[in-house]
This record gives sequence, C-alpha cells and structure tokens, in this order.
Amino acid sequence: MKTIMLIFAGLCLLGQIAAAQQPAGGLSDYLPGDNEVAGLQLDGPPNTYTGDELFQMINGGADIYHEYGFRQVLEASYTDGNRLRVRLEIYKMASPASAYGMYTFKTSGQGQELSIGQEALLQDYYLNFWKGNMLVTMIGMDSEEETVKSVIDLARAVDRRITRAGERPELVDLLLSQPAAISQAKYVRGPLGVMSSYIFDTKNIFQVREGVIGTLGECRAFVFQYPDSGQSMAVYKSAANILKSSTRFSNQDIKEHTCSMVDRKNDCVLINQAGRFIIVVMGQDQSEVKSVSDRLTEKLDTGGDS
Amino acid sequence: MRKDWKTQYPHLRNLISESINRRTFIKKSTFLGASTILGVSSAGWMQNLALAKPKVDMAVVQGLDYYQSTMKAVQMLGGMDEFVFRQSKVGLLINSPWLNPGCYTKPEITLAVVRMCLDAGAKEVGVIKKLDDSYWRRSQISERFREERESIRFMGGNFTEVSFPHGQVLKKAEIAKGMLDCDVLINMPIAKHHDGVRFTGAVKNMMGGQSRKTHRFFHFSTGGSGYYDDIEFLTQCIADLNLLRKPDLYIMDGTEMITENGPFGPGRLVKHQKVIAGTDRVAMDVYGANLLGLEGEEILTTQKAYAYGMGEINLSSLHIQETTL
Repeated sequence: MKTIMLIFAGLCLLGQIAAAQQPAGGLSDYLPGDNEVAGLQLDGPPNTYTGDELFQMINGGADIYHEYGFRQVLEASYTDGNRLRVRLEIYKMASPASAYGMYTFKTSGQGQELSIGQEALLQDYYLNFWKGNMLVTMIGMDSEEETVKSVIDLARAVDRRITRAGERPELVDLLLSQPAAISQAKYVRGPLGVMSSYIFDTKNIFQVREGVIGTLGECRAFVFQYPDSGQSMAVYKSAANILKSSTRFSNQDIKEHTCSMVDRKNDCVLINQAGRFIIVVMGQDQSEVKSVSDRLTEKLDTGGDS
Repeated sequence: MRKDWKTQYPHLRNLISESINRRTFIKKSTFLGASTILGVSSAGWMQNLALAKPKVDMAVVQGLDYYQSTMKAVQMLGGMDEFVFRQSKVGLLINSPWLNPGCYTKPEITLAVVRMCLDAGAKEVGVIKKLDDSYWRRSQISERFREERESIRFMGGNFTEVSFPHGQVLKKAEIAKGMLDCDVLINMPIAKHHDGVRFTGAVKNMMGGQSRKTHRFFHFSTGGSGYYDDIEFLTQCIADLNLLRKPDLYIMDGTEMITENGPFGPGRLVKHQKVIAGTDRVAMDVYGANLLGLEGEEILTTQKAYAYGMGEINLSSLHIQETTL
C-alpha cells in the first residue's frame, strides 16, 4: 500500500513538473520551430501572459490592449546565435474586431504593406499583422537588411500556422468605402484610442465604445458610433456642455445637434450629432471642414439608425 | 550628519530642492561657513550666490557615438565634477526596462555616465532600476566596459514611505531607499511617446523609483478601471512626486525614440542622435517633446511641473548650447 502511495505521489510530482514545463499553451502552436526559418532558433523559453498579467510584461502599455479586448499574449525571441535577434509577440484578442483595432492602433500610415495575414505592415525594423482574432508583432533589434528579412520570414511562418481569418468591423468597411472614403483609418474602442489622436478633454467626454478616426482631404475625422440615436444625443449634449466652457477651445458655438469651435492650433472643429453617430471634423479650412462633415453625415445616414 | 538632515527635515529639503540641488547646497553651505569664520561679510557673497547661474543651462550634443556625445554634453555643463564630489554615492535613475528600439536610454549613455562618475571620485555608483544582461546586449560597446559594468550596484527596492506635505494630490509614496540615500541623483530618461500621458521624459521618469503600490495609487486611486482613466490625477501625482528631491543632473536620451505606441513600442522612430544634459527638468522635457514634434504646453506633466516652478517652459530664455561631434 505504501509503495502504491509513493508511486502515486511520484506520478503527481512528475505531472506537476511536466505541467510547469509545458509550452505556453495554445499560442505556442503558432511558434515556428528551430530552423524553420533558416538559421533562427528560439532564444530561451517563451513567456505567456493572460488577462491582467499583461501589465507585468508592458506595464502601463497594457491598458490599450485591454481597451480593445485582450486575452493572452505569447512573447518569444529568436536568434541566429550571434547578434541577430528578433522578438515575437502573438496576441490573442477577444475578437477579430479587437485584433484589427489594435493593429490599426499600432501601425501608422507609413510603411510597406505585405501580403501576410489579413493585413500586414512592415515599418523600418518591425512588422505587424492581424488574422482572425490574432495580432502578431515581430520586432528586429535593428533595421539591417538581414534582420528585416528574418522579421518577414518569421512573420510568414507564423501566418501559415494561423488558419482562421475574421471580418473587419462593419463601421470600418462603411467608412473605407466610396464615396467620402476615409484614409489612414484607426478603429477605436475607448478613450485611450481617441486620446492618442486628439485630446478633447482629459475625461472620456464622448464615452467612446466604438469609432473610427481617419483623414478625408485635408481634414481629420472622428466618427463615434452608439447603440441608438437617443444615446448619441445624450452623449452629444453632455460633451457640448463640457466643451462650452473648456479652455482648450475658443469661439464655441453650441447648437442642438451641431457645435463648432476653434482649438489651440487654430483648427476649426465641427461636431455633429446625426442618428446614432457623432461626427467630429477638424481642419484649417472652415469650408472644407463643413463640406467633409456634410459628406460623412450623408454617408452615415444611409447606414440607418438600427 | 547628512542623513539627519534628510530624514529630520524632509520638508526643508523639498523647499531647498526647488531652488538648488544638494551638491550645490553642500558646496554653498561650506562656503558660507568658511566666509563667516574668516570674518568676511556674507552679504556680498549671498548676492553672488543668488545671481550664480550655470554657464550653460542645457547642453545638446548630436552625433552617432553616443558615448562620446554624453561625455561632451556633461563637459559643456562644466564637467561631472560640478555634480559629483569625491567619495559620494551616486544613484542613477535610468529608463532601462523596455526592450524595443527607441524605448530605453542607450547603454552607451549609461556607460559614459558611470565612467564620468568614477573619474570624478564617486565612492559608489548604483542604479535604482536593475540592469540585466539583456540591457547590455543592446550595445555593441558594452563588452569593452567591464570595469564600469561591474562597478554598478543595485540601489533599488527596499521601499520606504515618504510624506509629501506640499503635494496637491500625493500625500505619501513608497520610494526606493537608494534614491533617497544617495548623495547625488542623476535622472537619465529617454524622450519618447507615451500612450497615456503623450510624452515621457525627465519629470515622468521619477516614477521609476517608486513601489508598485504607489504606482497603483497614481493610476487607480480615483476609482478608474484603466491605467489612464484619470489623466489629470495621474499627471498631478507625477508633478507632486517631483517635489521629493530634485535630481542633481539630467541626461536625456534623444538619439532615437518612438513617436507612437509608447512606452513599450515598437513604433515609428525619429533619430535626432542627440544627447541632452541639464539641470532644469521642465526645460529638458520641453526640448525632448519638441524632438517628437510636440509642444511643452501640450504635455500635462510639463505644465504641472512648470506650475510648481520647477523649471522654465520657455526655452528661448535659456542658454542652450548645441554642438555636433
């Protein structure tokens, strides 16, 4: 009996050790094996962070991921054994919309688009792509040609392993389509996403849960979507009330569905509540701002107030 | 004696730190004492002290050799001897933990500062945040600087509660004891983008010396569920934290830095290849923000530090010397 118990305890212990040494779980399936990309091997075991553990990895940088909807990340490094090093981060987000949104947040307009995942952008020394609910970031530690090639090759290897694709948010598809197509679109899911583009106030006065920020002509446009026109109107009224006395703006002219003002950079800011949307357009040329706002309002009205 | 002064009169220290740094205080106190003993009227000396200004307010050196740029920048301020005295214990607050390019103060800058501190006769040079091997691996020259690397001690952790009687929202904080105990504190931030507060530089880097508990207070104490739900409160906490102790010297990495996705990155880089040295944290941050295409007035931490009188926001009123190597 004693022997059986000892064997059982031993097996339990072995089981615990095996569990502790297990690779990072599901996300590790996406990791390229050693030399799958010529000459590159894993530089130490990968790390996984789930939920709030992301703060251990990137501290305050984690908040924006949570705003979009974060589940888990796997972090690993590859090396050629010499100086070449590439870091890899595979983020499992809550949905394809979350992954797409974070992708737009992390990428800027400049870079080289590549056919990896559903969308990929190579910028100098790093590459981001999204596919399904996965967001993948590869970072070379320098921008040498050999490093960048490894970044791309590793990204392709990860892409091959992610089999499921997903849809972009409807609002994005609508705003990227003609007429009045927005360019350099960023899909936002909360105040941090908005504030990284523009600070209307230090509080989340537009109570943003979903929106798109982009450019149209010479203007910047913000389109925030709400569940219905009632909520959109309530948010508009509250925001307009705050902006009326804000020292960030001057020449405030507040009306029932529209307000205009001038910001510190002398940009004309026009805010329009239409259906379940709030549309903010800003730019130097007042007439162009008005025109862009009208075109966007007309376009979004066709989307209806569901 | 020094410890008594720090621990018994923290309030006095805070007030003093706003106008003169600790090294200057010791120098000037000694000077005043000597003048009294010699029977010299102190009135004239006092006036001179009040008028005394460093020859250069801020030194900026541009070049691809970051080690030499750092050496040169400090030299332009009068040399490390101006800040570090013999047998002193020097604490370095380096923005080092981040991994991605443009997100951390370059190891070459750190190595140059350590070398200069040792040459100035420092008894001990320590870091408030740990530097591990991965930090040194990011530099091709670090292998050649074994002596400097091995001389660095860890002064972080061991947090002690400090009160902030003059803080607008911050009344107490847990601070690494090493940051309080060191004779000379050198703040070494990188100027870079930050998703939450837009910019991080000299003023915000002080958060590197606080405990996780204090960190959480900054971010969550007003009931927000996210790190940046209350930016006003957070940035006021950061300004208040700067009442703690004015670092004796700031050396800012403006070589290459991210202009988006900060503080972690990766993000688009700008490469100004500049090392900036000075003693005015507000001016340093304005200069750093300008490198990123931002105005000082746009940065809440800068605004609030300026409102405290911690430095000059108008760079044109300062003597900024720039050179290229």
